[in-house]
Amino acid sequence: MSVPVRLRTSSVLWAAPIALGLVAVYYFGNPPLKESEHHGYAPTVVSWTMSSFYALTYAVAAGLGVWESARLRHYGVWQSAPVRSRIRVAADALVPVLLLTWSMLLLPLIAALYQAGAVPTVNSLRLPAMAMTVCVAHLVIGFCAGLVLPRILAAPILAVSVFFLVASSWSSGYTIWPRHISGQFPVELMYGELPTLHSLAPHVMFTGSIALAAALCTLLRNFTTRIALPLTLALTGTFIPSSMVHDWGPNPKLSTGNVSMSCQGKNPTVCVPQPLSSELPRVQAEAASVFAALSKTGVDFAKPAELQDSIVGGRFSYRSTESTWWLRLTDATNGETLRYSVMRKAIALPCDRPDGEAVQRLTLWASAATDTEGFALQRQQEELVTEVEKQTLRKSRAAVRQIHARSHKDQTTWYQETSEKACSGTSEVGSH
Amino acid sequence: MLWWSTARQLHTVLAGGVAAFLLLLLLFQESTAQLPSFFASSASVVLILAAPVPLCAALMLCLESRLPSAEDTGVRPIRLLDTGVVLAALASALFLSLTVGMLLDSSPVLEAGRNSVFLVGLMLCVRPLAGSRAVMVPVCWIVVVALMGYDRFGHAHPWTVLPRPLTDVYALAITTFTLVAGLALQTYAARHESGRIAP
Repeated sequence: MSVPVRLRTSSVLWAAPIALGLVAVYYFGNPPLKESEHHGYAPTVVSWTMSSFYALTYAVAAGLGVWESARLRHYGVWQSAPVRSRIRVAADALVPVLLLTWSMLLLPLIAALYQAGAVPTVNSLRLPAMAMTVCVAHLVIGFCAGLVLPRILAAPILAVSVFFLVASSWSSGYTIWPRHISGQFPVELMYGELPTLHSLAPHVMFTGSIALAAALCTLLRNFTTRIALPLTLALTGTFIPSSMVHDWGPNPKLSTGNVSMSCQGKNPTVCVPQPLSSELPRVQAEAASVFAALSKTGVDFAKPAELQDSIVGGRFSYRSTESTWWLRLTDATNGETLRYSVMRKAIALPCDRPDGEAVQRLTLWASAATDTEGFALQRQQEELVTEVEKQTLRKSRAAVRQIHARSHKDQTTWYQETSEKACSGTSEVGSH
Repeated sequence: MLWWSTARQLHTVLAGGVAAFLLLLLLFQESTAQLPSFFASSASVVLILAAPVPLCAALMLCLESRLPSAEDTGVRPIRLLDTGVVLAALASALFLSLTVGMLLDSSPVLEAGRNSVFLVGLMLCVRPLAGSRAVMVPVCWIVVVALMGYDRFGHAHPWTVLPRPLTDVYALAITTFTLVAGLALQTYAARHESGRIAP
């Protein structure tokens, strides 16, 4: 059959306006993702956009799969003498539907990437590739169902079941495994994150094995193999992915740090993701100014050789070492917050649970040296709940004001004594 | 009558559809799920929205199981009988949802009966245009409601009908109008032979 004839007879002809209409509604009704939400990182844009479309696309695939096979059966194409192989006949009918479902996945992606101005990379296509494979599986399942059931019953029931089963896999309560095998990737990717093959495989294996079982059931002739083989396949195909993911938490396995870093400067060397490197001179200058200001006080503060931007860790955090610190650098809202977080890391005490009041005083004292007083005070005030805590802050501020009035050497001694006491457990912080 | 109802598969398909509706009412009751949404990050949707789908599909299969040559001879008042089938199916759906809903004291179950009436009405409205493909209309409506029927605060828009409370006059009015329009179209619109429209 020629391509126009194939399209004209296909269910795509009436389904496409509705399906693509929904895509258009999504595009025109949704504001584009904010720059601060994606930082130009294509996998983030891709995963945000796709999360609305997995269930819808699979439902369309399953429903139209039923419709196509019922059409072949209705006109006697499926039963007629084999001129071509059955797989070829099925593929001819399914290709237009497959193209429709793939464009339902890809069109919103292209639009979202264009709006965000993000350059798609090969790695950002991992999620679409998974979804496109799962689409094929749903098509095959629908096609096989339509060969044995009346399409008026099978198409709507299968479509609505697929939609609800896939879409609700996010919120299956305390049973976590459905979200890792349903075909709907359970989280949106953050900066630097990519799904691993290990986290994508269960999605493809689960629906794929059911589809393969359905196909074998249709194609095999011998009764025993026709029942036994697909049944085994479907059971193992559901069991292996669910046992793969049974000890996973809500997050799937993600790899982090998938962005190349560019570094600059000495004392400390500051590294931020290459695409955000326009921020680098500013960030390096701010960080260096903190260490310069702190060393002027005379106290011996910790100082790393390298400062890394922890944004590339996504939702996970890297462990800082003595020589390399991981801090939020490029997405700090302004210079003051950036200096504050560097300063807090520099004055961090070497014990697990230092005394809160002492830490408060040390922070207030150091914030004056690093020009972050306003933000430090604001952060302290945000944490206040009770009247007693408010009083403590007032006392601390008064004490720190007194200490600032003293000589340089006194201040250094006070700092060392206070930090030692804060860690000793029996803390008695006063101004001597 | 008996032959006609057997040809229409009323005793098997339609009875099965009503039974499936009852089963889904008892199964879903008030359970909800967080579904992805187009305009909010997610929406909390009652699963019972999907309960009328098997009933709609069964009704459509019955209405489409025509024997054109026999029916067109005009011995039986087919159009009247078709209307009767639709009304009987909807009456049993309403009866079941009201009874189960009152027994369980659950408003989503109570609303399911009205939702069946609305979705069947919608399906019948589209049927003269789309033939048996109209059976996908209830599914489309449910999916559209799930994807874009809720605002950021989880409230359903008035046009969605399905998740609205039973006391919502607007939803009741839409439902009544849709059913009347659907039945009128079914009775008065020209009928295509099943074979003439490409399935």
